Amino acid sequence: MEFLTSTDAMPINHPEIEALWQSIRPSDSNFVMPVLRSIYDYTYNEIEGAPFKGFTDALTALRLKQASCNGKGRLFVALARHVGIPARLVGGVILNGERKKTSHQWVEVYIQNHWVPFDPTNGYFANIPDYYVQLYLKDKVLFSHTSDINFDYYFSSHSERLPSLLIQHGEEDQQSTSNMNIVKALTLSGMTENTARIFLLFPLCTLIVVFIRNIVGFRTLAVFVPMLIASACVYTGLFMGIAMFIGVLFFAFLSHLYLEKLKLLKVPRLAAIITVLTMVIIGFIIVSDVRNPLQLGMLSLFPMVIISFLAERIHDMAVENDWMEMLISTSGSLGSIILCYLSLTSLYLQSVFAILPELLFIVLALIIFIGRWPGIRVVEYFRFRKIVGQGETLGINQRNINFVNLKNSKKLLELAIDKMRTKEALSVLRIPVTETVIKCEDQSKIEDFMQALKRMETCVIKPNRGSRGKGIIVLTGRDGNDFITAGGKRKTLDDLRLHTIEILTGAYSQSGNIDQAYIEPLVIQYDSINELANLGLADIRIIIHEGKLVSSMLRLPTTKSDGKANLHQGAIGLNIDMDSGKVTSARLKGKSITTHPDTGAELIDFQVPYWQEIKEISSRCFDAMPLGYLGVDICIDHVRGPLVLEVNGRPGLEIQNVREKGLINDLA
Amino acid sequence: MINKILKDPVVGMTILTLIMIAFHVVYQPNSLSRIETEKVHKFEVDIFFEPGNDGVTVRTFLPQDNNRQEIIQESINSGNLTTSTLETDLNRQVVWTGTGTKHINYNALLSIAAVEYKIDNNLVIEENYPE
Repeated sequence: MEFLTSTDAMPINHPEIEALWQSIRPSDSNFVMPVLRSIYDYTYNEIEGAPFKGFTDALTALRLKQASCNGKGRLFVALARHVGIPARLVGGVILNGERKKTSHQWVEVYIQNHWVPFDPTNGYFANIPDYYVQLYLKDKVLFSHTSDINFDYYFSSHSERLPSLLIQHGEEDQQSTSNMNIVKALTLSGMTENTARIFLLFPLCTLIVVFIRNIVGFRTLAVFVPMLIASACVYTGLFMGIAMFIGVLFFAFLSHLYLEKLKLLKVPRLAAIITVLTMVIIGFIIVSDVRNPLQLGMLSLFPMVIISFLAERIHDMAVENDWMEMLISTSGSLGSIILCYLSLTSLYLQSVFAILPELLFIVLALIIFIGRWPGIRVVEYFRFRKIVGQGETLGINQRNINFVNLKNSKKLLELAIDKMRTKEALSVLRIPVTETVIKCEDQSKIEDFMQALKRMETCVIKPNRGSRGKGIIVLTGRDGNDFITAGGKRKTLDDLRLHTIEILTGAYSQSGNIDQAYIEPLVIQYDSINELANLGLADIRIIIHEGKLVSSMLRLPTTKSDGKANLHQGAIGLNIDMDSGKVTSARLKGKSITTHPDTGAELIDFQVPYWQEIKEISSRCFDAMPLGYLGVDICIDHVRGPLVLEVNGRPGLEIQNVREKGLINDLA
Repeated sequence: MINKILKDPVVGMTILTLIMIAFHVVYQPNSLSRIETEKVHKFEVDIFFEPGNDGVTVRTFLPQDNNRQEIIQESINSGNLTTSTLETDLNRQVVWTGTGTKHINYNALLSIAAVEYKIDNNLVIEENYPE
């Protein structure tokens, strides 16, 4: 038999082999077990292990009493064959997750029609672990090659668990129809298995995103971008993917801030950001250790996908310097990415959805359920923590489902977004509105617009379809040809022309579509309100439900709000008693106050001027635009009195904190 | 009332899903038992060289199916080199020859079992073994 013969490296009849055998020979040397135990014990215990130093034959190992795996293996085989037991060398690699050059040799012995493994180097007797991969049998050289070619090699490995139904064992398994599942069906259509497994779990990821946004209440940067990034993380690794996401945001934000100084228009600015990002990614790929083509593809393409989706948000946040919003949205996005990633890489979920694809109907049912769920979001329990216990708090889900969607027609909501058309609709009923000096519908009218602007001493430039004050520039004075803003910044005519063009391109439009710009004269505020806060224009928000005036508040600007009347930016909210028009309480950033922090003016019991007229105007706004649930924003001009600034079809909920009482009962 | 509940898409889809799962349980009971995982090893060999004008020949052994290990997937990227395989019952040796390529990559997904044998203490060393 071949595996009982002598070779140069394993001279089984050599006197030294015979002498060794005699010295280790067990008393019962006719039996397989004690003989192999004796040979194993000697080669494992008596031959000292050593790092690989090249080819070592059996005699060298014996004489030195020291050898690496190949010397120990040859001595084992030589002794086994010497006593008449067939044995052979096995060459392979230990798959321990390392990148390495080291291969390994062990031994197999023929016992009762089986080749039984022994590893006298690592201490395996008649067994072998699952991370030993066999590459060859018999005494072979693993690599041979042409000389002088700077030959080098590496082995690398890693182990993972895969759903057993996705592993096809042999041709029979591949052809079997009894094991058919949806992933296999997709792979038969040409989709790769990895893609099919991820694709199948996308609806679950959308459910996660919906849950995080509509039940928990966390905001994310663009709705479903976390899902896309999570799928990229499947290929790049979670750490690398998240680092990529944060890096993209960081460099995009920095680039945005720098490019803003160059006064570029929005689209060229975004193109420049993508170019900067491309250069950063090229540098990263060159210095990083990533060599996998798929990883490289993900690392190079996904930042572009991310930035394409997030461009608008980054633009808005950079323009507003809204770091807090950036932080909150990024945190929400990171949470969503991690949850989506854990779902996409869950082998159990992959298996369950592959075997039971009908579960996608349950996912769809849950999405529909959440879409109709009017409950309070988790974060709203914190936002309205002082009033939520009263049981009257209106959450954003309920506002949208039961009021905005149910009671406000799309046509009227669209009208409310269009501020100039709103003014026209209100003017029909002789409702006083702020005057429009000139409007600019497109770039062909921009010269007329700029000429009109040159003639103004003070004015306000507004986007027609903006929201939350975005894109509004309040010009409170002039210095030669330049204007001074409410925040004290200098604006040249070129700056304002550029800003107007940005408005026209839709940079501040709620829908992102092209927009119109218009100029309003600066409202000089009524004296008594100016005495409370002379830092900007205060306004009064009235909530109207089915024609009934429900609640009202006065919003006073502060230094912290940069002269704006937006509560989330640091303006003060003052609750107004609906009957008397007197201020009953005041809140600043969640805390009760009694005086204005900048002017020191007493706030409580302040009588809102023109109160009855304001209520009448508000009621007439409902007649002009019969939205079932609406907010009317009114300012008070020192000459003209109350003027409607805008009508809001989706008024915010912060008024509940201001009045320290939920809205639900008043809306019943 | 029941009609109204059934017409609700959430209820309808839930019932539909339960019916389909029941169908699975009844007609494909084995499929549910496959919701389990299996350990696999990804094994990769990268070979680098700088061929001269006369080209290069590189030989190595690659894994082969046997009673302990199974190749689930494998791929070789050897660029412009010609690949030939010498396969016997014991070994699979692959030979690459040619020019214009400096890197060979072998990638495999392997299912490997740990094995352990019990050897009978009374088993006598055989006199003759088959050739």
